Amino acid sequence: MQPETENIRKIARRLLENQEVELVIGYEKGSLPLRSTPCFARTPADVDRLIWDGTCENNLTRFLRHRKGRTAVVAKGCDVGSLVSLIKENQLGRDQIYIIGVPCSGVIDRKKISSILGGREIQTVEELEDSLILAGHWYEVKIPKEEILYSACKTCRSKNPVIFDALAAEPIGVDEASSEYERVAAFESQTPEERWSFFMEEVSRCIRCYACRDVCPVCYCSDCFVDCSKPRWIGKSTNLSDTAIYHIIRTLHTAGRCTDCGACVKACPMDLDLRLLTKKMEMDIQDMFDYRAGENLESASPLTTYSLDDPQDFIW
Amino acid sequence: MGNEGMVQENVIKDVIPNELETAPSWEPKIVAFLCNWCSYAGADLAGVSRFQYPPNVRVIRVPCSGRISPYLILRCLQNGADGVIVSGCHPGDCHYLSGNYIARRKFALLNNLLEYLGIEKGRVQFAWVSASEGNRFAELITQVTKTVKELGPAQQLVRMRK
Amino acid sequence: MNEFSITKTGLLAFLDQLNQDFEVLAPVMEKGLLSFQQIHNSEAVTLNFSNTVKPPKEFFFPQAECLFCASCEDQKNGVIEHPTESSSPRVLFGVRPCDARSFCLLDQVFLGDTTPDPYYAEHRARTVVVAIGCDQPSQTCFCSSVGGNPFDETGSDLMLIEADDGYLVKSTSLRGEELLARYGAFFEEPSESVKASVQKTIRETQDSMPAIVDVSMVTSQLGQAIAPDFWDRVYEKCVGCSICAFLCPTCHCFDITDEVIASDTVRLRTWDACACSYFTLEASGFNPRPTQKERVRNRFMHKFAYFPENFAQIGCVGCGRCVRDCPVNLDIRQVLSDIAALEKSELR
Repeated sequence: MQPETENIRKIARRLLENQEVELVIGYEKGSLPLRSTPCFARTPADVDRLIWDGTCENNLTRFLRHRKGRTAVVAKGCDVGSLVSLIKENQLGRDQIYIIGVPCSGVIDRKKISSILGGREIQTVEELEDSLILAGHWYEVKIPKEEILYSACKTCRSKNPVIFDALAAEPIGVDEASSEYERVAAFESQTPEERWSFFMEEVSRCIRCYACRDVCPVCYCSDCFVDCSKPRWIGKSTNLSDTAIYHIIRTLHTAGRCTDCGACVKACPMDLDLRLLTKKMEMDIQDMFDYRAGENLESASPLTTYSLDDPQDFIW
Repeated sequence: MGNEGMVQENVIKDVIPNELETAPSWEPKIVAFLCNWCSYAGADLAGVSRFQYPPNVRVIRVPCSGRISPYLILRCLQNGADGVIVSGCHPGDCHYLSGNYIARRKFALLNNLLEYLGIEKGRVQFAWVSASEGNRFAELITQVTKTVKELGPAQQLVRMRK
Repeated sequence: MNEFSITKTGLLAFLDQLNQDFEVLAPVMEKGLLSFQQIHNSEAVTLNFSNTVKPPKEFFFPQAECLFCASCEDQKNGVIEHPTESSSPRVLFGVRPCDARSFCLLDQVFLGDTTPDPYYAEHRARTVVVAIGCDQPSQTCFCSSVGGNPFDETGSDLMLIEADDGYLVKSTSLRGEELLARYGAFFEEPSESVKASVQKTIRETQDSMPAIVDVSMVTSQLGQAIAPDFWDRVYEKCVGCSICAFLCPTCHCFDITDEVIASDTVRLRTWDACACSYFTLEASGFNPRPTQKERVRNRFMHKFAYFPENFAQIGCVGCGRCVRDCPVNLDIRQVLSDIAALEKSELR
């Protein structure tokens, strides 16, 4: 058992016993190899199911909405970033949540694994410190973890939670950044025609399931623009133009609030490269407004404020 | 929200009848969102001063450039506009003090994102035009019309049946 | 019922010939995603696959279907028109038995009773279904728990089962028989070895997939009104997206909206999902399924209680797509097991 698992259970048990919180939201083992699933722990039996490992991909802060009373949540560095955004936007009171922070070195991309295995199914998993040993019918492979991390995790700048009430493990050393905007730069080096063509191809696969929106912690509008029928801002079909608008607008709505937790790409059944758009916004906001979402509770959210020197050479 | 959304939707539809033409006589349709206090007044001044500018523009008056959401701009492109102009007061002169400052940040992000995705440059243009800048308004329309005419009919975000 | 055999190369040649006379839709791998697409060359077809991401229901019940349109262009004069989509004959190739079975379920909804849906009927009538039996079910498959099996012939016109270096080909409907007769040149008499190999495959595969839940028990339990706090333990992680409904071969709920596109007004029928918050939102603002709890409960009630009541069939074919792609791993199989295991004390 990983040390984090033991610590999370200890903390959760204590919080529930002392009635410091009514609920602990964490992870438990999923129903498939290499999957975990959100766990809503209220009893000691529930607590014994809590785990922590490299499959803990969901951003659990998504489940803090509309709750009365105090809730504890197991949160990786990126998830804590979402909490910072949510607290800043008055969606949560700081004292309403007990943050069980988990320093995280990355979560496993199950689709990447599936692709490496050529669709072969996994029967057993053994997690070592730096690699996974996967075995199934007639095969066994050892894959270094760094090859199968989610793309967001590979360039993560928030491995350690910036705010927390308890930490489930010692903070991790952080490498100096990183090539986190490499994909954006590579995309920018293409011609406009190539970029538009790529974007249209991505968008053509979208089935408008809105999983990206529904797993996103900062998409909490009670009346989302896509669901509004009076007026109908965008149509309900998979019309390419409407789908493109949906993604462009959602990217703009989350700009400056998105902390690159990657919940959207993890949820997307059609493998849309949504981070291609969100990372561009993140990069621009850093360049133009010197702001990084999820870093601290004090700085004002970039689109709620302004500077007299904001860039305007694009304005006639 | 009330009825204001409905009115807005109808205005955009009425103002942009939909035809995509590539005949040599094709003229672009340009929607201009003008803030009531500066740019709209500037357009008015251009009118009374008889400054000439191309007739391709359809004006939508809004209280402030800060009211313009990126969605409105994109919807114009969806529904037949070949170009979109958003014009407000110069920074520091906003009738509502900071509307145009907030707008400036939003527009910067929108502008960058659209260019990044490969939307033709020049289709969407932001401007600051004050109430006393009638000739500047005429200049703005003339330039944007010329740019959009060269780009041809907008096709990238147009909403079509399939 | 006719049985023939065909080699792998023979199959590809058959598909190329079919392509001359039909629109052929087959599983194609593109950018790591498998989907049914129209092919122009049998080389594009993927034969070694588990199942497509999206179910094939979209070919009979498209995600967006224009029911009628009217144009304000001068010549058209606002007259209502029906869309003229393609009506050429099609072959839907590479359908798994679970998906083929789903067509029969959808037939009950769209073709049953006195007013068949003409759009669905037209798509259905022009399509031949060629199924491929599952000799390697996925971990997420559970067809055998909901009345199906990996070689179920329901809903297909032809069934292919892999054997030796090719396939056994069975006609499973009159239409299938006609197709085999028409293209007989591609097929041969099956050897004893092929037949034996297929029998073995069927036996072994079915043995490897015992039912994981007694689904009649589930229906019976659901019919007895489960105490609501059962659902408290189930619903909380559901985020209310539409993945399970859209990827489900049997989900068929839809919304109808009028949209203006260019100079046309179009009445569109689009897929809808009961997991969505506004699914049952009424014009007054009242919502009879106000929280995710009622909505998650509805999914199970519809598939395992209401649908069986209306159509004497379970509304699920066990394809496992919802299990594979649910972003929070809300596993339908687990919930079904929990329902079946409920004690009398937890029923009302």
